[in-house]
Amino acid sequence: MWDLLIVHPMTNILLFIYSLVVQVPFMDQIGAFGIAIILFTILIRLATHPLTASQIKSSKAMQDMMQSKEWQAIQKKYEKDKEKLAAEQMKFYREKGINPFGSCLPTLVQFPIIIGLYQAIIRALATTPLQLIQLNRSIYDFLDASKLIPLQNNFLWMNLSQPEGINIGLPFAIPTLAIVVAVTTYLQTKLATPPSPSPNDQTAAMNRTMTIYMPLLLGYFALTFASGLAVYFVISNLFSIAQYGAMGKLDWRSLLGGGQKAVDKSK
Amino acid sequence: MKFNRLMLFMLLALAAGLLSACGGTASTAWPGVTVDGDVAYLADGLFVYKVNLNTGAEFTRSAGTETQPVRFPESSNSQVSFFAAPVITPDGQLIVGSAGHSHTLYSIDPETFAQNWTFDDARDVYLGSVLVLNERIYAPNGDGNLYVLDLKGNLLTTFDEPGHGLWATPVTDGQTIYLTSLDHHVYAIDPASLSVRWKTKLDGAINAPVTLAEDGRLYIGTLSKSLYALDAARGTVLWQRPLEGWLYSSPILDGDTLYIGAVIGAEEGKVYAIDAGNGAQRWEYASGSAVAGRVLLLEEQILFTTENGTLGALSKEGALNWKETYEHNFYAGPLGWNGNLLAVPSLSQTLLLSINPANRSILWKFPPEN
Repeated sequence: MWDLLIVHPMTNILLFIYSLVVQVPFMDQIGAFGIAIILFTILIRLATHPLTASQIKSSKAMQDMMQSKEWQAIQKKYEKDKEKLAAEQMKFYREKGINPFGSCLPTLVQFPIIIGLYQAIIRALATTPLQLIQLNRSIYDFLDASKLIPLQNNFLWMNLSQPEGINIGLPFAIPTLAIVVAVTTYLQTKLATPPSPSPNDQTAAMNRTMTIYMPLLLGYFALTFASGLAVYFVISNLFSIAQYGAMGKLDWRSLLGGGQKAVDKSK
Repeated sequence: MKFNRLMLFMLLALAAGLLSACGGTASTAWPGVTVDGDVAYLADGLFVYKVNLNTGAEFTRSAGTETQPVRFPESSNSQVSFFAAPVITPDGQLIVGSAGHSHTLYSIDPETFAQNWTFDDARDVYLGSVLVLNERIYAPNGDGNLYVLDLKGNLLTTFDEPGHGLWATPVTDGQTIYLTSLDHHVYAIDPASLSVRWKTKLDGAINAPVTLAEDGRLYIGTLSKSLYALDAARGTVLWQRPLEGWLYSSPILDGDTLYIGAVIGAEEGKVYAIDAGNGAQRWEYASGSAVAGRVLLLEEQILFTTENGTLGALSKEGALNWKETYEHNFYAGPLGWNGNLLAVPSLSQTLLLSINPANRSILWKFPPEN
């Protein structure tokens, strides 16, 4: 069912984009499948933009609410009575018309899409006969699979079906793409996270943890999995930064480290 | 605070696990087997195994007070995996390449499985077995290069004309090497100079080696559902027969008839008999499941395996003599040994089965310990 509803349609859209891109002159020298992954990622991110925008707005609303004096007063007043605190918080949400799950529900909806996108890329990059059989079974009749296969899996200096690394004479290859993934993930997480009014509260702690773990996690994926996936991560991160920028939600103070001090001073 | 960080870390770890489990890039292919006397060298995933074909037992060696299986490598390494059938050289080396993230070609001692040398220059997976000719090793790689090494593992030269992966073992008549590629071409090259004598473009990617006939013809199946006959001297297409399914294996030739299996859609497969002279179809048999591996001619029967675990035998006229279903997936074709059959399951704890073709009973199974 998962394959039927998510992975197969995504694989076919990806291959359809590839079938168009591969006809563009000189594309074989750049790498048609790399371009197809980039276009497909942008397409998916555009399609899920309403969800992302809703998530960004909800996050901001929550952030503003948590910085309000009323919220802080409730926290202080019911500090020792957790049940009462929870009840008062819910009442406050209702009064302000804020859905406490408004920021995480869109994320949950997007999660299967991201997993499906990832699987579609991996499936299309079949690197063994057995994977080719699976790919063949995913392709709809309107695409002539036998003409598309094998995909041009070279993109710039990379083989998209293999982890990336540049050899410069060292005993090991430099994983440039994994570094780019880690850096863009760090930038995306940092720029999208407004500074917390209280550096010691739970949200701030979780944000700091995310800022550390997410780049490491995605960097590790890029290091060990097919570089086609790393291309998706980079484009997805850059698109996300652009999305936040377009909505005026980028917080450069977080990146420069000044935001925290500014807020701290204001306390 | 610490609890929340722990929760977050666990969620990230779960996401990592989901992504890995949902589509990890670990190479999966069907296993490769080479039979030498009473021994099977089985390349199946993390290891190359050495199996006694009389008993189905793995060879062992003493290690202090314990006995250890003779395997390569001695302990599992997530960077390597093996699927190409190992090849024994005239000077007694066993050559096998990795299809994992490590793209290494290994020479090991067939007796002890000690490593002799490695070759690490390739940039992609080894899925096809090497060809050994005139004290040279011709190693096809997924990066589109045919690496030519001496028997000590030194790179002599590289044939780099193919525009895509080489997944099939090269075939030779001693004078010319015939090479198939995913780039849709068949190449005929000079073994010494690697100069191209001819190359012919077919209608699709080619996953399997050519079948070289004594009458100077090459027979090739493609992933574009076509079976071809080529003139081996010039590469001219003699005929092309469109079939229903993708052809993952080479045809076998018996007299003037070719037999080949096909993978059709999600559920179906067929075995075809084709006139080798003009490409006319003589008969087809619907097997009910994909036939990816090469069919086997044994005692006047055409034996085939299917993805859903069927081992079947057809008469040369296409009638079903018998079929038996086992609880395995078969992608590799059956092999004959000493009058019995060897079946090679995929994605299974059991890696090798010996089957009595007379009553289809299982003589032994090889599930490796540990």
